[in-house]
Amino acid sequence: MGKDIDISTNQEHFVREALKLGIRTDGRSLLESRKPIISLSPDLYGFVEIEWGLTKLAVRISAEILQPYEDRPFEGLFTINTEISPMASPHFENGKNTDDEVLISRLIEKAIRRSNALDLESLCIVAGSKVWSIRADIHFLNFDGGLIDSACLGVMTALQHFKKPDISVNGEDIIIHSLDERQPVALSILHVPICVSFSFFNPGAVEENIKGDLNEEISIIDCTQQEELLRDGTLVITINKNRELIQISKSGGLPIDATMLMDLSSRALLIAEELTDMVKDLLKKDEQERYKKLNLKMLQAENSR
Amino acid sequence: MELYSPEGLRIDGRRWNELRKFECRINTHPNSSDGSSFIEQGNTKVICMVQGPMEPVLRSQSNPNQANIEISITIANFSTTERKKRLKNEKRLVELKATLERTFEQSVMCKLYPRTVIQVNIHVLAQDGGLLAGITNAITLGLIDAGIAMYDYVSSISAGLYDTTPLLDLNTLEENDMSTLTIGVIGKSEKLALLLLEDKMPLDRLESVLAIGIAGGHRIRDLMDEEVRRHGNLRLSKVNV
Amino acid sequence: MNVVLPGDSLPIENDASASISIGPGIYKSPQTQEIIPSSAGIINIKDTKQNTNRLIYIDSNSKRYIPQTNDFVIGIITGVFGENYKVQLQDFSQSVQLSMMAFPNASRKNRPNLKVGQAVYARVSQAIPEIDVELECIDATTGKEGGFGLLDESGYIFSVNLNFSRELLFNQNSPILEKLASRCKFEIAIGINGKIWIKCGDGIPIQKEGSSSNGNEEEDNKQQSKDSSKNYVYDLKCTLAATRYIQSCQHLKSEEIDAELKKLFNF
Repeated sequence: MGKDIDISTNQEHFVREALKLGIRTDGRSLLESRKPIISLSPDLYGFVEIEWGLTKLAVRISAEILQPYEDRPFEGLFTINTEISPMASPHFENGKNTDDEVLISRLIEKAIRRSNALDLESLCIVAGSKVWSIRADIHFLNFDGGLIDSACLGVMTALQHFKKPDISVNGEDIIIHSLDERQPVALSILHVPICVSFSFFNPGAVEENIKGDLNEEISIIDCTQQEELLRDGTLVITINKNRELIQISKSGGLPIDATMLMDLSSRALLIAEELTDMVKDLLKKDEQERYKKLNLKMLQAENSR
Repeated sequence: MELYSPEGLRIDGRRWNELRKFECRINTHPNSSDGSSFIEQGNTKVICMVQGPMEPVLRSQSNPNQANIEISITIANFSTTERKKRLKNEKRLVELKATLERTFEQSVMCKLYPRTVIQVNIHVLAQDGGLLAGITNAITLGLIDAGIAMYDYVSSISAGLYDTTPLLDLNTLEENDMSTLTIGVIGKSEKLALLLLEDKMPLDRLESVLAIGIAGGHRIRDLMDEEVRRHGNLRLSKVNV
Repeated sequence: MNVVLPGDSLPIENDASASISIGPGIYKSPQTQEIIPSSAGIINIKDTKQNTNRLIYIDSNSKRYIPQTNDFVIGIITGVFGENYKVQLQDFSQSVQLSMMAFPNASRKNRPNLKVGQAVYARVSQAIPEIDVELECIDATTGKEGGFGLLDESGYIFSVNLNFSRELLFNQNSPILEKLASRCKFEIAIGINGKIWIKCGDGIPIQKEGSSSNGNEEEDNKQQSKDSSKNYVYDLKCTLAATRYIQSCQHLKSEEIDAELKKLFNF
């Protein structure tokens, strides 16, 4: 990442000693994730704000009509833009993409775009000439660890919340109906991937980790910035409710026993189930709210007549 | 095209748990580098050259506590059937590079070489699946040839899932059509330094794919070990004369 | 309590008899000799008993710490060059210098042995904007340690707001630490740069470097650590609770403090 944060040996020593006893500095247990607060925009479709502990981000989905790629005439376009600006933390620099930032954006891309979470074929309007182009812009507003988890949740919530204007096709002509004219249409989402990040700490010596059979490595879920600075290795698992692994990435770091990795994947599934249901409930409520408002308007129109 | 026939044969005639031809050589470029290796994993061919530990060019690269490992990857334009120019800062390559650097930072005893840099240059001559696995194996051999202290071998292999059958060591055709898991195993243990899955795979099948992957990784380790010993004995015999 | 903003005039009458000392946030124009506020905050005017001296300063909460002479700070050592340590007082701030000679009994042959990452409690000895800020770990009046120096790893370091650290350090009537003392025994060092070092009880054990290879001794150590481990778990929990208590006090009203203390120390 950009500029370095210097962390004192006092903090390091304390955090490690505490983890050995199963205590984390913010009072969570080792395998406890922070509870995200999701706020949906009441009037815009596809604008979502996520508060994940102190990490904050906003996701905005937008749509326009473009020409498809020549080799894929039946598929719409979908881009995810993750630029981490110094707005999140002075840690990040403008326009400079460090390895960590590239890894973050690649992971989000793999989790959502590559896994076909958004049905691209449903975005086709006229094959070969006109398709919807969906764009997700992620703005990181504050940084306290867990960028991947929160960004993935944000984009998936926003995609489910977003509605594109209805169109009617007449030969080559396309009429885009405004939101007042016709009810907008939701996107077709094939599945909801959820990212869960694990961080590893080595309580003993390096030799013990590589040669020993103790497997004492400590793994924690959803670490804060401080823990992120101190960790020895990380693993990101993307999984959906249908028990499908979408992506696993353990890029180096502390070697971890295979059986432990299996355990962690099933734990990731539990979190994914919980979060998916939470988002589903939230969207349902939002939909009902909007419907209520709509009814009210109709009544008013009747009254004024 | 049938990737896995009902008789249990794959497109190139292998069975599900068979590796492709694995050839490796170390000390291939004794004059131009401190350590070098060449591996062939099926049709994937990778050259690795290691320089160092040496003084870093920039002061900012030096770390007072441990050595820095720097990996640069060059993929030849002619490495795929379709000639394609590749940019060095392509996101996929940056990711690959970061992944490899982090893997070897843990298995090389970096603490022994403070304030130095270990420069690893990778040249990919031909690609036929298992790119990351091939590069990882080449680096392991290169580092061994350079005499850099390591805890153990890092051997890497890819494995995939066809319907319900796990397949070991995929080639390009198979890789394009099924989800691929690349793992990096430390020595003869079951510890994984590297684990990368890029496409969908049912959670319940992960275990079987991991198991065949680990077994394959151990086999690769043995093959590499054989080569290192062969080369070592060859040099020893010259000394004795 | 009065709030002033830059551009306001100060609520003082021009009384030539009393001399005026100005503190942070007040600027004296060199041309007109007029004193004006230069930052926004609560104004404090304090007169001495005889009305001969008057102190004016503005209390405000800023995020970035700017070193002033005689401030007590906690810094983290980030590097060594020549006979100086490079010390970081705040993340993303310019680092300051701590001379190896600015320790008690230090000489060219007897240098302090501090490592990168360790923390020190120090006094700002020189803060001239044009040149590097310098710290010292020595009580200038006695030449002794005076509470400065290395803050060892048995304690934890965390950050608070700048105004809160001033409150803890200078407000004798602040109940926060007294209430904490009713719960546990602790040692604390408060840096005005918003960093606090705290250790409850005996803190957590420090790893010894280059532990002996003697088998017997190791066994002894194990025995010992078993005895003390229960204590140290308690101390660690206390330290953590105290940290979270102090951090949450920043946002709490005075009547909520007791409840928070009770909640955090309930383990």
